[in-house]
Formats: sequence, structure tokens, C-alpha cells
Amino acid sequence: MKIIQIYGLNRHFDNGEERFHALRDIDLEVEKGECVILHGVSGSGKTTLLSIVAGLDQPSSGEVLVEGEAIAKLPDRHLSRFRGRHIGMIFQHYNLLEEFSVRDNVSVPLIPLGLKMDEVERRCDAAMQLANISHKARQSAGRLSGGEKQRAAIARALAADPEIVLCDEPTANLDRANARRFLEILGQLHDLGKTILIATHDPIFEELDFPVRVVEMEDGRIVR
Amino acid sequence: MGDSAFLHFFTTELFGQWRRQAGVVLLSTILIFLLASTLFVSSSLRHSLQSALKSESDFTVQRIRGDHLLPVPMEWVDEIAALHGVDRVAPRVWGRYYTEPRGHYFLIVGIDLLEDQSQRALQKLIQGIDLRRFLQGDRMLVGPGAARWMREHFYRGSFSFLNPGGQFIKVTLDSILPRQSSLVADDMIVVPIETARKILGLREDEATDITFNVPNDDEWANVQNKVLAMHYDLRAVSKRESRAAYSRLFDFKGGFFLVLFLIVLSAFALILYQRYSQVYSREKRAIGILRALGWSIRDVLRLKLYETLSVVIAAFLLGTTLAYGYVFGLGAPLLRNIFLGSAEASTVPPLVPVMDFSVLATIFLLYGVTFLAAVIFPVWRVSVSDPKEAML
Ligand SMILES: Nc1ncnc2c1ncn2[C@@H]1O[C@H](COP(=O)(O)OP(=O)(O)OP(=O)(O)O)[C@@H](O)[C@H]1O
Ligand SMILES: [Mg+2]
Repeated sequence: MKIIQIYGLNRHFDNGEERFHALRDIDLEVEKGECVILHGVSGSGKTTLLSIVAGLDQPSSGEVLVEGEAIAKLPDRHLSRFRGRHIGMIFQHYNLLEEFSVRDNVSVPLIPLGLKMDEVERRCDAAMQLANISHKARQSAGRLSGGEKQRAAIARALAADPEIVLCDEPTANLDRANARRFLEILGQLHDLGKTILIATHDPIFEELDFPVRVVEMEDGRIVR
Repeated sequence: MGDSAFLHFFTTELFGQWRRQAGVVLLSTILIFLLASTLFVSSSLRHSLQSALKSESDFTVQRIRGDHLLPVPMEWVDEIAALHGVDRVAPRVWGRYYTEPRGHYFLIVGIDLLEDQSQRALQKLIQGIDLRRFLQGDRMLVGPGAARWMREHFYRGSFSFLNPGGQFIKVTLDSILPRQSSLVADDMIVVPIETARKILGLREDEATDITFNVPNDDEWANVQNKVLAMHYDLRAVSKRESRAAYSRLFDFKGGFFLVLFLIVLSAFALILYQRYSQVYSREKRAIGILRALGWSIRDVLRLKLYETLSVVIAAFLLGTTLAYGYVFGLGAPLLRNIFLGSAEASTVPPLVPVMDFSVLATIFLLYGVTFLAAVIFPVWRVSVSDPKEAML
């Protein structure tokens, strides 16, 4: 089953007279459970592509289907719900709410779902377990080390149990040891059947011990 | 989503970041305090005044010569009573009595059995007092303010009044009047009418003024004209005229404060707008994160509105509570002088707590609506902020 389908996607930014093409004629299909690595130099359009898949940015033209849903056309409320349920995000800068505890951070995607408090707690615990950050549940996110922040961010991405996990430069701010631990968690996610999209130019992902598809990007195009 | 998880998150955010809201709460509290104090004072005074006037007679007849008042001859009572449509005609003997040492004055009010219906306010005051016994000698009922003054000046049990003829009139203290919602009762001393005449230097056939009622409203002007025609030196003042004069005074001062307040409110709205625009533009990223994690614009808006409402309500409760304490607990120092004039301040009784719901509603509306109006646009603008913000 194809979980992500992208056909003829273009994204350009108008800057006064100039038009900058961040993505050109992208065609991409991702199978459920697949792990895809978007590889490319800085400015090649990886983040822009992830944003569009997550419905955080709109395509200029082309079609984007996620789980068969044309997400660009959904009204805000439905798109937000869809995103909350089906897509987990891991950002380059972790993007934790620094004053909040790890547990409260992990609960963020669950809040709009209208769950009972104990259900929220249960799911937070499960996600923190998986990301191996349970022991820091009560600590405020601002005081965590880089690796712990990353794992808290992973727990948050997994809290709503999404099918798709999007990672933007997940290892850029980690030392090698922590980066390898991240790879281990990715392995677990793969085993759980998650579809994973990673934007990176870090060669460490060659060490992944499960089959991945590498998509090479250059100047907003998929070259390989 | 209408549920415990949201509320938990909301309270965590609110108390986790209270420092951010503290300035706004403080500013709002001060503003509400000012507004509420002003309104409390004016509504309490107005209330006292109205209840005092309500129980007053329709007309008061005085005798004037030049620009000062003379005692009214008692024959006038019968002359007025003979008029058609006139009711409850009663002579009153009352007046200010100045004590020597500090120029403090009492309001001497004489009563007797005959004028039973004429002064309902007085009647309410002296309820439960054995009038027959009281009227038999030189006894007095003393208002709380007057009683305090006597205590402070070591008069116990009796007080000797010095009358205009140079004689001392010794009057025994009967009891102390209860605290009343009346502006006039505090420094009042109620004595039998004969005693009052002695203290104030009136002859037996004289009274200070005469009061009467006119039950039929349509007859007011007619009766007033007839009474005025009786004697060239007679003046008849209707209750409506004095009430209008009083309420004009209060309306003027209250209105003045309201205008001042509206000016401050506009400035406040501008400050708020500025501040929240700033606060929320700094928050854009945090909002972007929420949006990227599945929060809709509505969800964010709801969180921010709850936050704003908490600030509004906290400031409202704090401000009105402080104002209540300041006005009715401390007696509104400074503010009261502005309303009543500082010269009279020491002789005016404590402000009586009147909880007027419409006053509270006015405060809440004036402040709450301004606040929300000033804040809603920045809140909305940040709620719709581009969720892509989180990716950058
Ligand atoms: N809102 C925008 N307005 C104008 N240009 C933009 C905007 N967003 C992205 N771009 C441009 O699009 C190009 C692709 O950006 P993108 O962030 O997708 O690159 P990337 O591959 O993620 O790079 P990096 O590896 O540095 O994160 C960049 O040249 C960027 O400047
Ligand atoms: Mg990028």
C-alpha cells in the first residue's frame, strides 16, 4: 500500500520580482513501512518537501496524498487533526517547550484529541518508554542534554502512535554516540511498521541495519 | 476537546509562565482598583442620600430675612394645615450646635410625640426606644460619631450645652443611635423638642422649620404657590429640588471620574495591545510547534483565550477586592475627600457597604471588553501563525 504519493509537486517562493524554485517536478511514492532517506546538500529542498508532506506548507502545484488524503485541500481543523493522528514530527532543533516537563511535552500532540487524562498519561508513558526517556519524565525540557532532548522529541512524535514519522536532520546536533542510539530507536520504529522519512546529509545513516531507500535531492529535484 | 488533559496543560502553561502575565495583571489590578473605588464611593453615597431623601417630607417651609433663616412662628403650622391637599404638617426644631474646643458640630434634632408620622427616617432610628420616658426630661440619643467625640473629650453620661443666651443646659445621655445608612445620622443628637428649643435658643412658639406632605403629585406646584403666597418672608423648598441638587453634584463628580477613567482605559488598551503583540510575536515559534504537532488554529486560540480570561478575571477579583477593602474597610481616604470636600470629611460617617451588582457589571464590562478587544487581535494573529515556523 502506498502511504505517501507525490505527483508533479512544485514549490516556489516569490521574492519581489524573483521567483525561487525550492521544489521542481517531484514524483515520489512511499510504501507503508518503508524507510526513505532524503539526501542532499543544504538548500536542496529537503525541509520544504517534509513540510509539505506534513501539511505544514502548501504546494504551488501538483498533488500530495497522504494515506489517500489530499491534505493540501483540507480545512485547518481537519488537517490539524489528521496531522496529529497520523504524522509524528522530529525537528532538527528538537523544538521542545523548554519550561514544560518532559511528560507535558510528550503530551502535546495528545491534547487536541480530546482524550481522558489517564489515557493521555498511559500513552505518554508508553512513548517515553520506547524512546528511553522515562527516567526524566518530570524534568523540565530546558535542562536536558542534547541526546535527552532528542529522545524526548522522539517520545513526543510517537505519543499519538502515528503511522508516519518525519525527521528533519535528526542527528545534526548529536554526538556520534547519541546519533547511534537514535539509529537504534529508528530500528525499533521500523520493526513496529512505521513509515519513516528522514531528511539528512549525515553519512551515519549508511550504518542502518535494515533496508532503506535513499533519495538523492539537488536544487529542488530528485536526481536519483 | 473539552477535557481534563487540556485544562491540565493550560494550568501548567499559565502557572509555569506566570511571570509573563504578572505585569499585565498588576497594571489591570491597579486600573480596576481605581475604577471600582470611585464607583463604590459614589454608589454608596448616592444610596445613603437617596434613602435619606426618600424618608424626608415633600416640602420644607422656612422663614427668611435677607439671606439668612429665622425661626418659623408656630401659627404657620395651623395655616398650612388648613390648606386643601396637605398632609402631615409638622414643626421641626433642629440645628447645628458648635462645640467650642475644636469647632466640631452636632446636629440637634428635637422630637415629640405629636409629629409621629412626619419623619420616617427618624422614626426608624429611634425604633425600640421608650418615647414616653425619653420625652420626660432633658435626655438625648446620640449618633455614633457624636458619641465618639464625647468619649474622646471625656464626657460621660451627660453633656452641658451652652445656649445662645449664655445658659448651660445639662442633658443626660439616654442611649447611642445605631449606625445607619444615612449621611445625617452620624453626628446627630436627638432630644425632646423642648430641650432642643432651649439648646438652640428658640422660644416656645417658634420652630426651625415646618414640613408637610402633598400626597397628590399633581398638586405640588399648586400647593407650593399657595403656601408661598401666605407670607412675604416664607420659603417653601420641595424634596425634588434638593434631591436634584444633590444628585447633580454626585453625577458631576462621578462623571468627571468616569471621563478620566476612559482616558486611562484607552491608554491602557494601547499598552496592552503593544505588549501582547510583542509577547506573542516572541511566542510565534512555540505556537508553530503546537500547530506542527496537530493543534488547530481553534485549539491554539482556545488556549490563548483561556489565558487572557484568567488574567482578566484574576485582575478583576483582585482589583475589586482591594477596592472594597479600601473604600468600606479603610473608609476611602483621599477619595472620600474629593467627593465630599475635605473640610467636612471628619464629620461624615463611614461609607456604608452597598454591593450594587450593576456597579460590578459596569466595571467588568468596561475593563473586560477593553482588555479582550486590545488582546484578541494579537492572539488571533499568532494563532494563525505559519506552522512552518517550527521547521526553521
Ligand atoms: N519561505 C521561504 N521563502 C523563500 N525561500 C525559501 C523559503 N523557505 C525555503 N526557502 C528556500 O528554499 C530552499 C530549500 O530550503 P530547504 O529548507 O528545504 O533546504 P534543505 O534542503 O532543508 O536545507 P538544509 O540542509 O540546510 O536544511 C532554500 O534555498 C531556502 O532558502
Ligand atoms: Mg532543512
